[in-house]
Amino acid sequence: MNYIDPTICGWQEATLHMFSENVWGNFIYYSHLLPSLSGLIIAVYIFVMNHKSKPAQALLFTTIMFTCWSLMDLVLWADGNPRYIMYIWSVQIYFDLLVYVGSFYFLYSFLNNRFPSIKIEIAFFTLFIPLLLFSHTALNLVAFDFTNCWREAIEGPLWSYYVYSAELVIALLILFISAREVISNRKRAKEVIIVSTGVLLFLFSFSAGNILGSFSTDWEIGQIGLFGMPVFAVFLGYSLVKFQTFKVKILATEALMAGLFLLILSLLFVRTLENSRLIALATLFLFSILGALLVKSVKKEVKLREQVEQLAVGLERANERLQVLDKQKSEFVSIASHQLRSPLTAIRGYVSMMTEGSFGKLPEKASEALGRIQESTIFMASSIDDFLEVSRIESGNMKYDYKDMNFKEQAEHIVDDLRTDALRRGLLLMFRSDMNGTGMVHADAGKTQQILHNLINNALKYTLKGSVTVYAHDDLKSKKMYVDIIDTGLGLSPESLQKLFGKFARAKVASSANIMGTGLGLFVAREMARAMGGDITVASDGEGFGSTFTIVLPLI
Amino acid sequence: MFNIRIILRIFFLLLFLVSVWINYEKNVIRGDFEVLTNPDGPDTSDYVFE
Repeated sequence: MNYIDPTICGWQEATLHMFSENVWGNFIYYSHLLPSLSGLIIAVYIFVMNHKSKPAQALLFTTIMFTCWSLMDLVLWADGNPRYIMYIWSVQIYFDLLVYVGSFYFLYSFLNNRFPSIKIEIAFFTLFIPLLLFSHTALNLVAFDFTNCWREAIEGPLWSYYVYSAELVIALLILFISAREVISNRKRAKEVIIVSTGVLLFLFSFSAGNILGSFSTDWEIGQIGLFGMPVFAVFLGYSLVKFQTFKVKILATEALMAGLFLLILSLLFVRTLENSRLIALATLFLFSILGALLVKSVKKEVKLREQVEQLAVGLERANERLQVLDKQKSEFVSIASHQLRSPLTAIRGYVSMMTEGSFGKLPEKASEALGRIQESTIFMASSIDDFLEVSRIESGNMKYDYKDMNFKEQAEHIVDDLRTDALRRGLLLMFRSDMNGTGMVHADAGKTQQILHNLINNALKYTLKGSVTVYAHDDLKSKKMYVDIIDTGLGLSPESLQKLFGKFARAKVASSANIMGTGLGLFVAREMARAMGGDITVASDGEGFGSTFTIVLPLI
Repeated sequence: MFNIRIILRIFFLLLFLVSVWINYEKNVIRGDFEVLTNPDGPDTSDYVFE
């Protein structure tokens, strides 16, 4: 049994083993109490808010271990009794390693939302067996060094080699699982990098000072390292706000501020020296302003974020509702159009028979009226076809029968078919071509015919005098086939050009020139062209200067 | 059913508490540790009593 009389060194007895004049400066209290208590307060709040969350549990465990370690270290700095120094120093080894194990559990559960498997837990347990067996022997602490008045223990291999090696392995494991997650889950990469960097910086700064102290016996440098905990807290705080890691928003920040405030305030009563009071007061003043600003800004950010989230949810619901309504509308149009088509066919049939004289010769005025009826039924049938096409496009039921076909020849044939109609209107309809290739495309011949008919008929309708030219050409470099429909008609204003391909969109001149149409033909034509990998574009120099519609399709 | 994880943790906690007690008993109650004194400088050996 040893009894050491410390009077030769002037060591004092410490109040609560922690508060004495043995420490070399006020910085010791800052470096030990500030990081550990602030970290602990954050962890407790996070745990209270999410007690079922595995990362929150692991974080609380880690910060409790770190706080125990810090308080024990404070005892080593302040206590003047070598027996307590030896006791605390020998037990502190557990907490040193437990901080690392807790950090690993935190990061593992943060990444996987569960604790490591039982096998890993048994592996960690075996890591502690040498400590359980030898922590009270000289393998842990060789002796108390009374050769000078530094109140130090001489560490054995358990401290100097075993624990530090185990900690290095755990740190590498943390690095490994983080890197693996970053590579495999790109969506979470930023979040994982921020949190794992915080954990590793915390562990590095925590250990760097201790390891340096163990090998150089300069323990004062280790004090800086303890501020790794606030670094960790900052990273954690950032991830809280940025990624809502624990779904704790303002509370964690307020808890941090409140904890730090109380801590700094308490320092006023811990030390009696005037300069330490001044430092604490100045810090308190600055901290109060900065803390209030931080809480305010975080509150504002969180409020804005919540508003945006609510709006997004509202918009999503409205969008879903609109989609349902749109689908219902398309179904309604489809059903209504089908219902209209059958009687219309009967009307057209009977009118045709009457004009052909199947029911006897009709008076001239009646024939004229029947001609008008026939024209109207043709327009009506065309309108119904447009409605049906639109409803098929919108419901995704439009079917395409793809085949290799010669688009240039098809355009030429359609021009030939429509030439009589053009001449009847007093217009010149021409076909020209400048082909480098064969003009073969892979498309639905029925749909391309419909598009060509639609655009050429439009050109004839909107051209009161002059000509309509259909110009087929190709570009073998870009492997595209073009058919331009160039007219000398009414032309289009820049506003009309922008809206022309919308549903029910009609150019201003169409209404003023009293030309009938649903405003759906161009919409249907372009949707069809796009579905076949092509497009339809339009250009015009303005009203009165004609217009050019271009159909583009990819060549084979 | 017994949860192996909880049993392991309780087992570890018990061993840890035993170890803490042994360390307390050895260092604080018995003061059973070696003390290195300085034979050259201010001779601290005079201040260590067996």
